[in-house]
Formats: sequence, C-alpha cells, structure tokens
Amino acid sequence: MTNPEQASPQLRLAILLVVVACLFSALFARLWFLQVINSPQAQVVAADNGIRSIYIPAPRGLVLDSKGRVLVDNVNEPVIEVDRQIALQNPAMVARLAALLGKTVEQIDRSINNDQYSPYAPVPIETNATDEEILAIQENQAQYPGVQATSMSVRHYNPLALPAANILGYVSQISGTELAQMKSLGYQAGDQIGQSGIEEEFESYLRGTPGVEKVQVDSRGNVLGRLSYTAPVPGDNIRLTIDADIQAVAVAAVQQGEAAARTTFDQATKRNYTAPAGSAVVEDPATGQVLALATDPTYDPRQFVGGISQVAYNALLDNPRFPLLDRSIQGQYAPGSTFKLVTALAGLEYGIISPSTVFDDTGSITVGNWTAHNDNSQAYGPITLPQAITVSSDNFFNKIGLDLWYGYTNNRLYGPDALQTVAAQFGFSKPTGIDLPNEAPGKIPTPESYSKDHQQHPAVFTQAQWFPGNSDQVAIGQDEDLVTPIQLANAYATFANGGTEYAPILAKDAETATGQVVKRFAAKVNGTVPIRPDWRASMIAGFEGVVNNPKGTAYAVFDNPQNQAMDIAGKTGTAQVNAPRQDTSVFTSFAPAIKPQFVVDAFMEDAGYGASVAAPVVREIYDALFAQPLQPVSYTGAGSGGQN
Amino acid sequence: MIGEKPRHRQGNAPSMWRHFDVVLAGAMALIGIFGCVMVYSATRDQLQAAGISPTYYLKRQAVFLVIGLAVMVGVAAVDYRRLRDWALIIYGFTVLMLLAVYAVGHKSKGSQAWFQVGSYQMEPSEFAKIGLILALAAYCAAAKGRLSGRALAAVLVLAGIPFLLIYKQPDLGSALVLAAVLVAVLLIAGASGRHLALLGALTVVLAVGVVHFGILKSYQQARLTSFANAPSQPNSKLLATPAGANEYNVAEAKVADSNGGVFGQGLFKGTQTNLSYVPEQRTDFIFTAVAEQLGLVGSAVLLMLFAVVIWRTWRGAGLARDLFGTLVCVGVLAMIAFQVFENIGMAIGIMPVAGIPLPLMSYGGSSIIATLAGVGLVLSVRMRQFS
Repeated sequence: MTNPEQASPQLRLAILLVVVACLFSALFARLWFLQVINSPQAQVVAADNGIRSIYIPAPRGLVLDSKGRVLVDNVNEPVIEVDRQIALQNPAMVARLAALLGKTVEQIDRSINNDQYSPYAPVPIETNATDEEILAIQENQAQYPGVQATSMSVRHYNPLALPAANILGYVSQISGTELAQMKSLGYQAGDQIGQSGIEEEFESYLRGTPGVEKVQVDSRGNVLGRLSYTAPVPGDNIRLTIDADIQAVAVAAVQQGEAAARTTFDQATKRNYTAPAGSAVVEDPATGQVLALATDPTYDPRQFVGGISQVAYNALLDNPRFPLLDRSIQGQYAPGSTFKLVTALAGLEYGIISPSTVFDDTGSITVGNWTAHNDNSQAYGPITLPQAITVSSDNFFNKIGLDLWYGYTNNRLYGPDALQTVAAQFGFSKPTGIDLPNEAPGKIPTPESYSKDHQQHPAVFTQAQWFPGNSDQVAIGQDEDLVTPIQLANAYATFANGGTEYAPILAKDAETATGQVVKRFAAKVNGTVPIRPDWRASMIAGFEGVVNNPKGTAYAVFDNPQNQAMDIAGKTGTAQVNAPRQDTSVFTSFAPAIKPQFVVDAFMEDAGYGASVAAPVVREIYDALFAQPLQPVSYTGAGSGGQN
Repeated sequence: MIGEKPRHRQGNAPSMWRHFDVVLAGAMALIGIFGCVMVYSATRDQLQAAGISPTYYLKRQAVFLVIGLAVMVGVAAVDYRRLRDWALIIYGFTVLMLLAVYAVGHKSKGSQAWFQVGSYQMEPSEFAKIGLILALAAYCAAAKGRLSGRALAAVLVLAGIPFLLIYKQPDLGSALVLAAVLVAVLLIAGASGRHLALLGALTVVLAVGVVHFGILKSYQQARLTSFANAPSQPNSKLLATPAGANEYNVAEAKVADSNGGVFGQGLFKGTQTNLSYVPEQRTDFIFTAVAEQLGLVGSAVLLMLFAVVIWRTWRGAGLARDLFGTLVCVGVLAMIAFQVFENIGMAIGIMPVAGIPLPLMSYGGSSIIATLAGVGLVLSVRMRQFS
C-alpha cells in the first residue's frame, strides 16, 4: 500500500464500484416503482391490449301480415370479404382481386381502409357477388390469400310484400352520421338499419341483439384464439294488422282506377284525365287497425337490398310521379264533400241545424254579400240533413259554415274557429299518430292561420284576412282544407264507431321466432267526439243514401245486388284544385252501416268526380273484404244527380 | 494484495485451477440458462403461429451458450499476460473485421453490422469490445498508471477508431459501450482528474453538438428522446412514424414490466410477451419478458446475478497481479455493467433506447461468445493472481 502507483487504482476501483452500485440501485428502484406501485393500472392496460371483441350481427326479425304470412324475411347473399392484415401485406393479391371484380385497386383499398369496420373482422369488398366471381376465388384460393367468398344476411321480399313497400319500408347500411348518433344503442359499422316504414318504426324490435366473440389477438392483430362467445339473438318478428290479400287488391284497384281515368276525357280541361297517382285506406273502425294502406305509384323494395345504386335512387327521386311518397299518409288533398261529415256534426253540435231542419235548396245561396252555387247550380228544393248528404248539397253545408262565421262576427255565439274545432275532434290538421314515420299533418285553415301565413309568406298567402267566403268554402272541404287519406278514413272510423278517435295502427304485436308474443300493440285513443245517437242515425241514413238511394251521388257505382247486400254507407268528394291540375276524385265509406267493420276510402289525383273513379276503386276493395267476386274498376259517368 | 510476494513463480495447472472463480463462472452459466428460458418464452408462440418449431430460437441460443462457455474456459486457460503481447494484433484484427463489414456485410434494419456465416450472423462489433479492452489495458499498463497528455491522446485515437466504425454502421449502442469501457479504464489507469474533467467536458460538448447539428440521424435522436416522451398507454398509431415507433416500444415495454407485479404473470403466461406486443423482445427487450412473467422477484434475481458477476469481476481487478490484469477486468466490468444498466434501463424507461443486448440474456451468438470471452479473461487474471 506504500506504492503510490498501486494505491491510486485501489481508490479508483472503489469509486468505480460505487458508481456501478448506484446504477444498479436506480434500476431496482425503478423496477419497484413499475411493478409494485404502478402495477394495477398496467395490468388493466395489458389485459385490454390482447383482447378484441368481434361483433356478430343478429338476424333481423321478420315482418308478417295479419294472417301470419311472411312478407319480409332474410336470405344469405353471397359476399366477398377480405382479411385486412393479409391484404395490406399483399398488394399483388389486391390487384388480382380488383381485376376479377372489375374495380380499381383504389376502390378496394378504400373498402379495406374503411374504418367503419372492425379491424379484426373481414371487410366486405363486394356484396351481391356473382357465381363466376365466387367460383374464381374458390377455385384459385392460393391466388387470393385472405379473400373469402361467404354470405351475409340481407332482406328478402316475398311476392305478397311487393304491393306493401310503402308500409314495410327498407333497410340500408347504417351511415356515418347515423352511427355517430346511435352508437350508444350499440350499433356498429356495417349494420343494417331500418330507413323507412315498419323497418324504421320498429327498428328496436326487428334488429335483435348482436352477439359478441371475444378473441385474443397479438400486437399484429393476428387472432390467436377465442375467449368467449355470445350468440346473437334474432330480432323479434312484427305481425302487421295488414291483410296482404286486401293490400294487393287495394293497390290493384287504385292502379285500375288510374288506368280507367286516363282513357276518359275531361270536359273541364279539354283533355284526358292524367290520373298520375292514387291511394286507398282500409281501417277497422272498432280497433283502429289498418288492413290496407295502398299507394300508387310505389317502388320495388328489392332495389334496396344490399344497397341501392345511386343511379337507381336518383331515378326514384327524379320520377315526376314521386314513387317514394306514400300518399296514403303523406298525400295532402282537399277532401271536397267528404268533409261534410265535420260540417254536419258542427251544425248539430252548435244547434244550427237538427236532424229534421228543413232547408230550401235553390241551387245558390246568398248570405250577406256572398253567393255560393251548387255544382251546376242544381236546385234540390226543400231538404233535411240526410238528403243533403245523400245528394251532396253544397248550399246546405255552405250555410252551416256561414252561420257559424256570422254567429261569431255578429253575436259572438261561438269562437272564430268553431268549425275547425270539430274538425280537430275528428283528427284533422294534425298527424293521426299511425305507427309509420313522416306522416303529414294536413291543414284546416282558421282566421288565425290566414293572418299568420300571410305574415310569414306574404307572397304565397296574399290574403291576410278571413272572409265569410272562407267559412263557406272550408265547410265543403275546399279553401285551404287539406287532409290525408288516413286522416279521412280515421275520421269516418271515429264517426262509424260512435265517436272514439283512435291513432290507427299497423302492427299487432312483436313476437319471437317461435311465435311467442313479447309485446302487443293496441291503438291509442286520441280523443272522443260527442255524437248523439239521433244525430248519428240521421247522418248514417244520409251516407247510406249516397250508395243505395237512386238520388245518391254514388248510387250508380254500387247499384248491384252484390254491393247492396254489403250495406255500404259512403260519401263522394270532388275536390277542385288549381289549374292545370284536374279534380281529385274522393270516396269514403263504412260498412256494414248497422255495425261498421270496415272503413274504406280512396283518393285519385286528377281523375274527376268522386263517384267516377274513387267510388269504383272502393267498391272493388269491398268485394275483396266481403270475399265476393271482384268487379273491375270502370269509369262511371255523370249520373242523374250532382256528382260532387 | 497486489505486490504480495508470489508463492509460485510459474503457474502449474492444478494449483492455478484452484483459483478458478467458480462463483463468477457459475453466475454466468446461470444467467445464460435464464436467458435461454426467456428467449424461449418470448418466441415460442410466434414460431408456433408461423408453423416453425417453437424451440427454434431456444436451440440456437443453447448452442451459443455452450460454445460461449467453452470459449470462456478456453480463454481462462490462456495466460492473460501473453495476450498483453498480442493485444494490439487482436485489436487490429477486430478493427479489420469492422472495416470488412462495410465491404461484405449484411444490412439489418437499416444498419450494416454483421457477416453471414452459414445460417449464423457474426457481429464484429461485439468482438471489437474485447479487442479494445485488451488494447487499452495493454497501452495504459505500459504507461504505469501515469497517463501523459500525449498518451491520453493516443488512447483516444485507439478507442476512437472502432468507436467511429461502429457508430457509422450505425450502431450507436455498441459505440457507447466502447465509450464506457474507455472511461472506466482511463479512471483506473490513472488519468489525472484534470484529464478526466476535460474528457467529461469534451463529451458534453460533443453530445450537444451531435444532437444540435444533426449529426445523429433523426431516428437516433428519436430513440434517444423517446424515453422522455413515452406515452403511458401505448397507441399503435404511433407506429406510423419512426419516432412514434420508439415511443411505442418503450410504452409497450413499460406496460409489460408493470404488468408483472411482484411475482409476475407466471412463466409462459405473460400476455405482452407471449402475444408479442413488445417489439424486438427476444433481443434488445428480453428483460420485459422477465419482468412480465417473473415479476419483481424474477427481475431482482437477475439483477442479483449480474451484481455477483460485477462483484467477482471487481474482485478480479483488485486481486490482479499487475495493472494490465486490473485494467482488463475493469474493461470487462465496464462493458457488462454498462450494457446491463443501459439495456434494463431502456426497458423500464429510464434510459434512452439504444440497441444494446443484455449480456447472456438477449438472443444472439456474437454477444454471448464475446461476453463469455471477456469473463474468460477475468477468470484468467484471477487464476493467475499468485503466479
């Protein structure tokens, strides 16, 4: 130790050891921190790192008609899927696949990179794959690593469903926006979601509960094994109140009516009726259940299977006849004389008339400085309420409208919208609440709506103030009166059942695949209309007369033993619309009048008098409802009486 | 002890082997076996998934270990003082190999660092460490513990040549090991405090210059800084950028370490390890396999084994019969200690990521053989402490 040359290394060696000891202590301290103090959180991160959930869509529930016939079910459609991990490493395969499918590599890459899909499940590249494409892949699987031809469940429409596209609606792949909005409901990219009709309205029943497969994956995304599997639960079936047979007849009848009108010359416009569209509704007044909801033109729901092409969708949107519009709930028409139901009851309720009040119909009426004429100024002479309905005297009802208005302006006997209040009791000017999306509300104008509309859109609604003439016209279903076919049917159903206004329904129940009912749907009561039995009897007599009295406006249509046995009560309506449009032909009815089981109405655009087309359409529907031989729809010319 | 009168003038075999450090050799063997098990745990699932025998890497690693242990005993049998005369030749040979790598070497992950020999790869940089240790020890021992400014300059050149060659490969990690060896040897060889301070200042200036003036490639900078930026939760989106990829490595490695807890997930049960979340796990990140599967206990046992190796090497340095022997031991000690600290430190996020193997644990033959050869030198010095 005396040698200085040797002493120095000993000290320095000690320093070296201390330095190394410090370094090792630092390592140990850090390990202690990570593994003892920090560990529980890290274990959570690590467990999450290796487990991925793969989502298995549930088969969608079926849609059945009231008799249990399957309208919409599912079929497996061939689809070509690609494993992302393999595709990303194999551009040559992607190029081959693009060539096979007639797509560009960019298109395929876009599908592969679509982050709407789970990165651990194969991405569908081509739905609706052809047999040739599938064979080419299966026979040359070595050329297409990671590509598989498999199948996916898509909607399938049975022939009975085709006339009911407007009711059933369609499904499509969930969009990015919908996904963002509905993520909390457990939707995933690639899911099918109802876009209209029953598919949309009953989405929560039809979609079912998706299954989940939990798999262990490594950092490259390779699936190493299955950890757990929860099978998907198929969606519930929806049983409709719709009778597919009646629905088919109703659609066919509307189409026949259009065809008949198009071959008939319109004296007023000096050309044939254009009859571009029509609709019909059949409702059970006792329950609010809808048996048929026909609209024409409509679309083929099969176009939407697997995603409709933009070209086909644009063709539907650009079609001047608007096939995507369900006129039975979205078409808004002046009701014409069918609105006299409301006016009659308003007259009775407010004591302006009684069932036996006699009115001398001279063919025109002048109240104050306002004169209104019957159709063709026809004079019906002294008539009571039932006769006024049967022959559809305008003046009888003009006078009620005017009396209500003057009763307000002169004596404040009623409010300014006494008539509209009764209309609202019958469900007009608001949606009925039928279980379909996007129902139109209709409109019954009031003095208030006139001034409001004018304020908001002075160019369109030039008239700010309400005149007696407005009351006069609203009373006979003209002016700005707008109703939907379902509203009119439901109003007559309310009258027919004695005054209970239901929200009409299309779905009876939701049931499991084995037919077990999980939810029964009953029609809600929207409200009631007070109808005294003697009022009702006198009005029914009038409605029966329309069909069965030789003076009735639709007598000619139903003048045969087959229809007479059905005890139909009805009302014609001929709604005048602005040129160049032609009159809307309207007919509404219920039967048997003694104990109504059915309410049937029809609206035919640009088709003439109510009795000419709409009544024959309704007649054919009754033939089907009463299981009688169908009488083809024929155009009925002007009868002896007034036609409106 | 040094300077004590020798009991034996000339070493005869039986007495010499009595001083064979069984503890040091045994600790090395245990670490090697530990390493084989860990390499197996980190690779078998991937190999199986790829349809290759799950023991492929295990078998190769075991072969390397056996060869390495044989080399260790072989080196121990050689009198280290003879190597003193060959030191510059060995050093020159390793520098030539480093040069040759540029001519005929193979590229791996962007760096040109190895020769293909049959189905094996040889990394000259591993052997260059031994070459430098011998050369530095020989040169500094000749200076007899007093390094003049000129001698210091010569030493810097001696270390600078392999340093630059390895750095250019580029293999920053191995180059840093050479630097650590240099610093340790200079410290013990008697460089004056002034020189050491000067050297330290030079290092700082160099490091700042390198980072600032873009001499480091951007991925090197990224690696060096990633330990500071590592997110607490790994996000695979990071992999899109080179810098991000390093952050991902570090983050995954830290998750794997923390995931182990005190007793670990159990051998072959680590999700991060066995699902190959930790990149480069069988090589640079082998420690994460230990930490996750065997927890704090397993990590501590490994650290203890390395501590034993360092302690026995340090003892060898102290007991060495001459300064050359001391410096050889110090060089080996620095080499192992720095690699252990840097490698584990990077796995647990306290050191920058640099591609350095964990001695005897990381998969790779050159590293194992070179490390064991170095320990063979220490054994040789220890065996001949009295002769």
